[in-house]
Amino acid sequence: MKKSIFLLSLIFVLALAACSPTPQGPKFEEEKINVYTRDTTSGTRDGFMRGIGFADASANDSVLVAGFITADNNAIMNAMATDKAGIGYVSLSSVNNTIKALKFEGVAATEENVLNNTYKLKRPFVMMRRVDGDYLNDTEYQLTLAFLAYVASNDGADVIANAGATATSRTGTWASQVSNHPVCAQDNSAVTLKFGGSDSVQKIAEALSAAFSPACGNVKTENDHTGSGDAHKRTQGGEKDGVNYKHIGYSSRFFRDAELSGPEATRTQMAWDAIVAIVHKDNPVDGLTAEQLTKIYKGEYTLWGDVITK
Amino acid sequence: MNNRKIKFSEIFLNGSVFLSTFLSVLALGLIFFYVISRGTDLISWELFTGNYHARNYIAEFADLEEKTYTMPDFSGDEEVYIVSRYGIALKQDFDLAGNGVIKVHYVHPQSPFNQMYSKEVGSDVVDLDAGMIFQRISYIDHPTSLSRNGAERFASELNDPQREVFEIFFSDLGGGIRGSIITTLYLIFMTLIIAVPFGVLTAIFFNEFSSNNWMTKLMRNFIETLTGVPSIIYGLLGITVFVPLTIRLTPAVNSNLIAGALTLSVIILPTIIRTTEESLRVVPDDHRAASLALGANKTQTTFKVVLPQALPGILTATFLGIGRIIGESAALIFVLGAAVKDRINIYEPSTSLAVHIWSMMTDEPANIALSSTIALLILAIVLIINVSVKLSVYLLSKKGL
Repeated sequence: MKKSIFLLSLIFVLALAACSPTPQGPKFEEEKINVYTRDTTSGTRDGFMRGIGFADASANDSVLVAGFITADNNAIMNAMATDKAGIGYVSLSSVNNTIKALKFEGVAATEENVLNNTYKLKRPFVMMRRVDGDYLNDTEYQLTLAFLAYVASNDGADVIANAGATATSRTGTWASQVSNHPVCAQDNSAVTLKFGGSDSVQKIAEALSAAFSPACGNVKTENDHTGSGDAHKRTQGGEKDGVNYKHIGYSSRFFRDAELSGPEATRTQMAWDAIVAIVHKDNPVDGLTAEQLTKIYKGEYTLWGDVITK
Repeated sequence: MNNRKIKFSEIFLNGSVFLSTFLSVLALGLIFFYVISRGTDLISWELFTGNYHARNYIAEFADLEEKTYTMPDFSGDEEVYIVSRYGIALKQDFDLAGNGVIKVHYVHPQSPFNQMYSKEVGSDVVDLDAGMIFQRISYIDHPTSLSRNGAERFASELNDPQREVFEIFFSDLGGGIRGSIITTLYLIFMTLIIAVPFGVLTAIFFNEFSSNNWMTKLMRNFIETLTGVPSIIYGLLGITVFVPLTIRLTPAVNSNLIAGALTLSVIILPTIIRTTEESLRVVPDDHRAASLALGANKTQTTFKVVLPQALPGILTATFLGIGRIIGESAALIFVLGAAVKDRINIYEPSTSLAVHIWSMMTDEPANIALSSTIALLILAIVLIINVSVKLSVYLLSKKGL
């Protein structure tokens, strides 16, 4: 009993010690840059590394600066709230006022700047449907086409904006187009449309499914997101007739050459997701160029002083 | 000299004992601390009983008479915004999963929101109730009001006399995990029904029927190895064998709950066989000999004398299996899918609690709060199972079995 009490009090004391404040560090210019990155499977990392012109680092950790820290989206947000010498990147929809969002090439990350193409650090959200004639019945085919038209409409754009990304097309209200899709005037509650692909699009995809259902005869929807690679595989690729087939697959990167076997009409871009470099709120730096970011992630700039003076 | 050396090594050994215990307890304690500190905020009865998918509605006003409404006083409530033009009040709030939403706080009895035409196929009127969620409202020739911009802006845009409402998009509260809880219960029930009889009978074969030759030893070694095989490999077995099998034999058309239960049965089978065998082994041989001496044959001895005595062990095996079922995720992503469902059908894909965590964590941004809440629920279930194992084994042994 005595020993257990001793052990527990030891734990308590150590936990307290771990929580106590660290002593004051050196001046900011002499502070080493703590580089945070997502892991190599992340679509955000792919978008960021390509966006800053450092595509080699998209799927390869060995070219990054020594001592970089791999973290997920939330961990990077939390780290930037406390780590005064840190730098990381997140999707624009994650940005809040606990951190400082940096300008990229002098342009602030806002939805306007993403759409007018002045903000360049962004990744696409694209979709792929099954090819014509590869549906169980005509209703499923018509519903798939109706869904794509809905996503491109003003209503779809509003849903995408509400879920945090920037839609690429606004073809008018859905109410003005629904007559082009007579299938939506039927009761479709016995049909299930299956969606899959990128898990970073999951929130947007689920919002689109939920909004589309009452707009098109209460069709049932099923969102099963397992990664961008499955977007092509489960609609047009090797698993298209397998047990996990999908009607529409989402991807958070442009489709690769090997995935472009189907006709162009089956693929469409629905939105942009802007990626933002973020730092601690007290960091005096306001914006960085692609070159500066590359040098930071390569390890050519190791101190914040390098970034400020050079 | 020799004496001092021994003392040093003793101190080192004792120190290592304390240090290891300290680190282990610290690590386990930190996990509990983390999950509890992150997960308790979202715990609510509605989370456990609510739908994950909100029911969405599209509607337009039936009657657009300008009226003035006498609204109750909401000045004491934080983040409540009154739309005096239409007689409703909005509140910035959270849904069950902790996502920010705009909740309807109050609807005046004469508000046009109480008389709307539904724009859906097959339904005509719909009304807005307090507690529902505004998704967005579109206007004629004005940009749409979006819920992500917050209740304050939403209310002020709705109040703007320049804007004429075109369509209203709202939903009920979503984000609940009832579907995943039900799937998990289904999985436990179906898996045990399949795995326990097979496992117990196999264990009886190994301990009572088979002679102790090299074949038996080989098979036993195989089963022992299977206990340590990563579950993702069983997932491969599931998707190549059980899913096609269930598609052929049942109305299922793709990955489904039955295939999930079959895969999990294979995963927990080795554990059940091993644990049951251990408990059969400790039944004293005297009892078998006595039973045989009294004239009972081998089968009667096994099922009427030996098996009842092994009951506590079989119970332990069953509960260990339940723990494995609840915690399994990798294999289930293959055979059951990762689509969160509200209406569970054993012929369709759905999500268990563990896969629900995976699904929440791969989303961007990841929902750590909800994941921790589900983790807390899983920990609670495992704790209850643990206690009930101890209790039932105690009660059984007290009965004198």
